[in-house]
Amino acid sequence: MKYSRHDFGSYKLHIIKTTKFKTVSVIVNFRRSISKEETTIRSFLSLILLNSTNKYPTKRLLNIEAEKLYDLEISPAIKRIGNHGILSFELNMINEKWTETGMYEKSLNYLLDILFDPHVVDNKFDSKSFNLVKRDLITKINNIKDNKKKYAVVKMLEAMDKRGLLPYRFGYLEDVANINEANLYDYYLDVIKSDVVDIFVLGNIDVNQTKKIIQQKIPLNTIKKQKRELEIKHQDFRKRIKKIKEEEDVKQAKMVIGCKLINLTDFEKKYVMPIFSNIFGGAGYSKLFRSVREQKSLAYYINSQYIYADQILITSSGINQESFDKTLQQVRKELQNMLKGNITKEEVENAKNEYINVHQLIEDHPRALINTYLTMELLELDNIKTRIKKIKEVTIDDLKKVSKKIKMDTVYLLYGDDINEEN
Amino acid sequence: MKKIELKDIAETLYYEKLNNGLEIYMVPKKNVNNVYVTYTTKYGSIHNQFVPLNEAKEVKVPNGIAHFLEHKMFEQRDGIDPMIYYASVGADVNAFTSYKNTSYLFCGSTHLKENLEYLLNYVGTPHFTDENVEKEKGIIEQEIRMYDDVYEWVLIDTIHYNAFHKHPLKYSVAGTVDDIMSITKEQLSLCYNTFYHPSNMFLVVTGNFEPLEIIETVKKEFASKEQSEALIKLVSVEEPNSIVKAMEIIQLDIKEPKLGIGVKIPIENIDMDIHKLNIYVMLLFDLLFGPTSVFYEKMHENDLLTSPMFITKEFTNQHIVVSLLCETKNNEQLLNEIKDNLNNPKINYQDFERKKKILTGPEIRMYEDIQNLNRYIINQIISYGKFDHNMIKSLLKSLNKKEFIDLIKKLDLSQMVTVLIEPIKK
Repeated sequence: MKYSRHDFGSYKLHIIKTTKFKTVSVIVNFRRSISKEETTIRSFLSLILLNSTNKYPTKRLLNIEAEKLYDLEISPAIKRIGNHGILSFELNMINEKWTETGMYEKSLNYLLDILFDPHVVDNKFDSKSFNLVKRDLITKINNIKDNKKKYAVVKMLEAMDKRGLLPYRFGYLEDVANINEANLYDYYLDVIKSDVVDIFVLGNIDVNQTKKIIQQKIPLNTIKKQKRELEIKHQDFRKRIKKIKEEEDVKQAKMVIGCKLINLTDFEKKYVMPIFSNIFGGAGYSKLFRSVREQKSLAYYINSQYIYADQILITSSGINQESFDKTLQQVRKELQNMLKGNITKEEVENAKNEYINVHQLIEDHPRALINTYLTMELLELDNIKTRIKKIKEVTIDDLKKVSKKIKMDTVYLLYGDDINEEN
Repeated sequence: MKKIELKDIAETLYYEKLNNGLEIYMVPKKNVNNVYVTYTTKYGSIHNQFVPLNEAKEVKVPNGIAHFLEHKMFEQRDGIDPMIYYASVGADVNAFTSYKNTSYLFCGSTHLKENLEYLLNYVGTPHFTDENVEKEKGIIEQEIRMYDDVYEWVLIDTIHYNAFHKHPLKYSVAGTVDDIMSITKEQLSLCYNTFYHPSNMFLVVTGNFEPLEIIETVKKEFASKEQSEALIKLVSVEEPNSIVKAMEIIQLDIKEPKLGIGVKIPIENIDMDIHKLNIYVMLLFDLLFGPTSVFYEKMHENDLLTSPMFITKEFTNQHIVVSLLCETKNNEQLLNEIKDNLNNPKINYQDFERKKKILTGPEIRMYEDIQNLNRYIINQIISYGKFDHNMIKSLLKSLNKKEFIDLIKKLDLSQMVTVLIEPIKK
């Protein structure tokens, strides 16, 4: 595997040449410091670009072309990493060595057409496409409510960080009405002009050919810089934990707990916290799994997730409503255990082994590999080899120390009214 | 050990069958870090009526017992939980139960031999006590309730419940809370002893390993055990072609209404290889309702659909049930359009040829990822009794327009089940 980074000023091209895979993956990321007001229009843009292009003016024609390219897969993704919003387009194609010569160039051109030759008339997005996508967008915004696990996490984050970026939704209904064909196109031009662009290509491909095709077609020509820091920093801990219970017709109550992390060192952020989260709420050996599920039979799933760029730790579980106090008490007890250093050597070893195994798996998956290079670019994280070396340095003492910098902030419960009712 | 070259995709498949009937399928990939190993019994939620091994009388056990058994296999006599063992060697461990099989797996990059021995060993030695069976009920209850909040599961489970009269596909894999509350350790032992016999099981190994080492380890593990095959007698049911209930409306606390359609297609009188038949049927539904169909374009434009429908299927030896899941603002109008499309299927044969040409695409993608490949091999064995890439390839090549047209004429697409989930009216 050979990684090369080509800085063309207005965009960076990252090529990971490897013979490991039979497919070629391409991810294009547009990145900027984001505001909450901008979420809806950014999501709208992600959908409209994949609805039609100048060359393929309907979604059906665009989809047929993807099929002709041997079932090329392409999808947009709207992500947020810390203070930055990432609009990305992810493409996976079968390497032409297994299909027909010429397919690689055609597939790259297909992607570049979608990004840079949109279906635009008189400086406005095509009306028909616009109206179709507008309805899709509204459905997708409403959909957040229909996935109860995710919904509970978003609701917890909204309670934790009312005005901030933590609860990042796909969009807001009240903002949809302000978007029209013309201002959406203006926003598109602004993205092209000012977003930082990273293009990743991974597979058994010709580096020079790839550079040539992309350079020829890409109309980017402004040099860009993002000044705002990427990582979200919390000012201070809440004095009293915020507790919120909301009633909806769910069959299983969802409990989500948010913790804030303040003043961590670089080593703590990169290495101690992943181990902390693994021991606390990772795989089957973790403290929460052992006590909440295996000893007390309170839940089927309970886990914790550490989000680096947000400096938060989220714990989620599905429980019976009446077990809420008991479960919360148990989570607190395990946090106390971490703080007191009631951690065994085996737990630390297991957590490190899990971390190493996850990182070795990354190298077997194209998308995960690209994401790793992205985090190296964005967050200045170490490469996989260094990570596997450094993780071994984490000690029980480190874990005890970092526990003091973690505080429970918000506890959220989504519950139904008739928990004990049997059908 | 048989070595089978898969020339068109430059891979090799290794196959072995032991004296006790256990089959081993292996696809080594030298350039990856990990090995993915699954140990599967051809026993799932639908096998709830059978004659226990070495007995004469048939029994019926509660729904959800195969899944319960899967949970309980993680309980070991010596107290060392497989989750703890695999964590200590940095491997991932899991298990899953579906309608037709139960699989146990691990995935890791080191300690392959020990991990494999451990897998065969823990799945080979159950440890049921009244106490540990009771303890599991609370955990599984929460698992079932979790699925009750996921509308896709609610749609699929209700479609099957309303499509089948007698066939056990009628019931969800995990059973209901009432079902699992009645399960005893004696019933678990009975199912275990019948279905966890090596002749009803197989191993699939994908990733970076030496096939000979796997065979040696497995043979050693079984050397001191019984060497003969066992015959499992399942009780089969006669399932009518009709559906049970045509329309069901469920209210959930959701924002956008969801619609599920199940089409129950009788296949007993269709003289065609079952594998090929399944491919044709899915191709038909893709042509009629998929992302490149005229139907989807029209429905999208008329504000009846946002995304293309999600299409999935299950089959028995008598029926294929194809399920279409989607969101819609106007279920009545969409339902009529779907019925029209099924009653009078218009196929664009340019589309047929295009889709046929690229059917090998997903096959190649499968080999990209050792987990997907492993699951794919399991599904092939469970569905069609074997995994044979070269056969699949020639099967895909042999698809043709005439055969397809003739088949469509024979298919009865009239038996339809509809499930609507609508937002609670407050």
